[in-house]
Amino acid sequence: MATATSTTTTPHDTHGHGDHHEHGFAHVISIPILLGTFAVLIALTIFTVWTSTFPLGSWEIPIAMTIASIKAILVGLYFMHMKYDKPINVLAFLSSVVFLALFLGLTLGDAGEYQPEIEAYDSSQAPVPPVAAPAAPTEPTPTH
Amino acid sequence: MSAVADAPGAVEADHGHHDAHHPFQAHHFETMEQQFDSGKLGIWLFLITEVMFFSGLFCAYAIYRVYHPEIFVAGHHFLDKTLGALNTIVLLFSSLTMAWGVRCAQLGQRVGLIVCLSLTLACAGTFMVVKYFEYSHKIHLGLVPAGYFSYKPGDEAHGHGDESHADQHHSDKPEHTGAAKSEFETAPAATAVSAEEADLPRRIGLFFSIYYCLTGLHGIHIVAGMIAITWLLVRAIRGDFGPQYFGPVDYVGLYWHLVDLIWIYLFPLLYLIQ
Amino acid sequence: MASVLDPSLSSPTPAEPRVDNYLTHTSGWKSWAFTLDHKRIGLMYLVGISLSLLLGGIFALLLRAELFTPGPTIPGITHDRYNQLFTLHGAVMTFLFIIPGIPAALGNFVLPIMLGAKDVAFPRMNLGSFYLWVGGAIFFLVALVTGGLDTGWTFYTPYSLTTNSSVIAATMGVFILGFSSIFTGLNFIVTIHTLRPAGMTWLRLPLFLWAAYSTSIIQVLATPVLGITLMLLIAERMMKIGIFDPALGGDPVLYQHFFWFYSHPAVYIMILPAMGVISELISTFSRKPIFGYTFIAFSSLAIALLGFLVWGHHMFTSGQSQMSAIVFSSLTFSISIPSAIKVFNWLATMYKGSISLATPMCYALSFIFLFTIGGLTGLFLGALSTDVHLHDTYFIVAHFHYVMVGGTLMAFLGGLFYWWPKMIGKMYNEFWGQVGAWMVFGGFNLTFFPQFVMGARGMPRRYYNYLPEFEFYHQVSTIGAFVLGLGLVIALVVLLRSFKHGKPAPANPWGAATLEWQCSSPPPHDNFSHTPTVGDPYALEAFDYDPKTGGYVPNGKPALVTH
Repeated sequence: MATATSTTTTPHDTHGHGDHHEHGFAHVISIPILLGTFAVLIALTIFTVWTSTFPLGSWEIPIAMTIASIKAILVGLYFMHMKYDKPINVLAFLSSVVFLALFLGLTLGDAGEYQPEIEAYDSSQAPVPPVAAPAAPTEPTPTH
Repeated sequence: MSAVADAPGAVEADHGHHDAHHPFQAHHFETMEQQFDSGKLGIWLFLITEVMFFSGLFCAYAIYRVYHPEIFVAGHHFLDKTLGALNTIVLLFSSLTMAWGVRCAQLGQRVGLIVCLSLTLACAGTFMVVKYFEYSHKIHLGLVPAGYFSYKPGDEAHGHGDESHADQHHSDKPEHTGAAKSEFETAPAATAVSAEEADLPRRIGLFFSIYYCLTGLHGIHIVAGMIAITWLLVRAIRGDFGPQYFGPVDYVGLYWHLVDLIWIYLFPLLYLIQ
Repeated sequence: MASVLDPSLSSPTPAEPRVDNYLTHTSGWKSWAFTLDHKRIGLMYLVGISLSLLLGGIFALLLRAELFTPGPTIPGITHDRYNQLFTLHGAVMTFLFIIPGIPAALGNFVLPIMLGAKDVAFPRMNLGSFYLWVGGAIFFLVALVTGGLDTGWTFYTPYSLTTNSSVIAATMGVFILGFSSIFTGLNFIVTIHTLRPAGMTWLRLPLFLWAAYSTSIIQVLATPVLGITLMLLIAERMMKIGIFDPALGGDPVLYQHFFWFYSHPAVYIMILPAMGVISELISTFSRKPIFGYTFIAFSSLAIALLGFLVWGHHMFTSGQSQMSAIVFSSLTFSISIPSAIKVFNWLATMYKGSISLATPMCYALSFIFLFTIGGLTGLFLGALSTDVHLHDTYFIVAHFHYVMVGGTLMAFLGGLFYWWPKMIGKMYNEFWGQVGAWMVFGGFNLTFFPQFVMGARGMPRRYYNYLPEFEFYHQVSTIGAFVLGLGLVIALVVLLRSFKHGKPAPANPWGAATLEWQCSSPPPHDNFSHTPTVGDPYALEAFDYDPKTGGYVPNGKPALVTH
């Protein structure tokens, strides 16, 4: 089977931006960008583990999520080529994030509003009997 | 009126007799570029479905994290931050090698591609091995989904009764039918304690349910990725890929990066809680 | 407009052998089982989906028969069996028939040809989608024979966690069917984006393709959420994860949020392709370009997107918070706007048109009437104060049957009768086709209109027993169901008879201007012998009836309307 294979590394590999159609129809990412992105990702991972050692209270989630999102954006832009890709593909993917936010947002909002009822139910419950494996005779779950 | 020119390279009924027809060009595409662009849009759409697939689990996580934070505060002590960080780095490295592999495919560097794919596969394997240790340790201690939760504090010292959990770590994946029940039920119940007596919040079992669902589903995706990458490896060894045809490497690469992306979020959400 | 007509397009006299087409191109069961031809895949889907309609219909007739009198009516149908009947009726109809319905059976066949392409973007994935559908159907059949299903098609927790019926088999089936749906949607989106021929700009796409595109967006975004919901349900049953189980600290309302986040957009998966079909039918059979093309096109997208914002209106009485109820209620009213835009545009298309009451048009007219009723009654349900009274009554049952059966099924049948000559190459008996259509219309109204009345008067849904005051309505409804069934049987027989007794179909029996009528009936294996010329899809004045062929041919007039 004849496939066109070439082992040349052309000069454009050393810089990784702009459109490169010499190799057909997709951008070829450069090695420095790959390694650079990786290095930043590792650094951010170390950073996020480090921040988790401090008691940040309610800031914990926003900070961790921000760092995670920066990592995600880097993976997306460079490893996944979003920076060099057709806008439609990027738009499509981002739309899923929008719908994810919609789903989580509205559901969380609703759950928040009916939490008082759940709390009332919880406080009206007797202390929970052993939550052991079903062999235990006092198993409270009516699961059959 | 729209007297439009015929499509470029207008083909008669006997298409497929194009000159310079790439052997991997499908009959309904005019050019390799059209084929590549189609595949690219296709894989991005598939990634959208994966994001939405995990969305349910992230939503469940969010609900319980926001409204019952005590179970996360209590539960995360049972997760090993170091192993989690190690897995994160392993996956990030695998993303690097995968992206590099795509580059090799585009440049026709067959050997480079084979090396990159093999490294990616090795990283994925490492990830799963670490996962295996994490799961087996927890199952050993009875730290399992809510309905079967049977953790007894102090178990870490003496070890839980039933040793046969160790090789069952895959069985918490939802697809297994019925096999899962048995090994959870064999834990000796005689000395089990209630959540409160163990100084754990009432819904602590839910933390582990969410943990197993999130990491388990993610693990299934890693395994699926490993299968896809193995297939790519076989094709790469055969020499299928080159500057005119590297789509499959690119597409599997995108999938792999998404799996990495999900872990990038899972790691802080599950392991890095104060 | 120089259209490219093949000599083979003039239908041969009955004595001449058929020219090579996609049906005769290759033969043997393997050439069908492993086909990559979207037309064959579409036909196989059509067979499967029709069988599902039959199965779901049988369940419906059984349960309607049982409801003929209060209390036990049919020996052997106990209250438990009754629960199984309505569950299976709903699940089979929803997941095996209506959601795949128009996109898989009609869309697969028509979309690439209408677009001007040789096939969908991913033919192997297309075949995969079909086998996933078959796989899902098999799981359903397994569930049917192993323990049945009695949770209602919605699988609400906590009952679905504790019942002994085959919940896991059925939900695995639905999960697999979900993938079939996702891959079909994915395929259509990529096909429409990348396989358009030169000249086929977005605003030259026929409205059926806009509808298919919008539907596909929903399929791709929403179906995975159903997937994870069902996975979690299975995990609940098997591993007691407890997320939805109040006994383990979980939240059953959360299940409903998860379920309806998909299932509301799912109803737009059901109706949008139907609306796309109607746009084609109304234009063709009024011999007028569709009125308000751009509005209809964008209203399809609007419905697809707005449909994601309203899922909570299924949960007004479930324990959802009041704040959410208010938000979802107000958003629900917004969807009526793009839907109404479509209805008004269809009516405007018909106004001063030259209307022909061919069988497809009978179904299209039924659609407009019945969908309007169904849609308007949705407003009653979107308003909080009335919904509290009407929820879980027969009013709801009537509402969704008006939109799903009066809407989607009518459009499915209309589309089937419209594209049948193209698919099979035969014309059917027009008189009996119309008889079937009107019988379906009459039977449908007889079945479901009384249900609005009894629902408003308090008859709850999913009840085996009922108060004697409702008996009359139930009896009318049951009789109507059998009339509807008979009408559908007539429609089926009309189509089946055309195989042997139908006249050979010309390329363009209806005089439509979309691209699928430019190739022969049935189409050749590669859809077009010559690359089609892309023009205005609603330039109907460019075709004249030719009595010799029994179909329409281009008359060389330039189209008056261009986009």
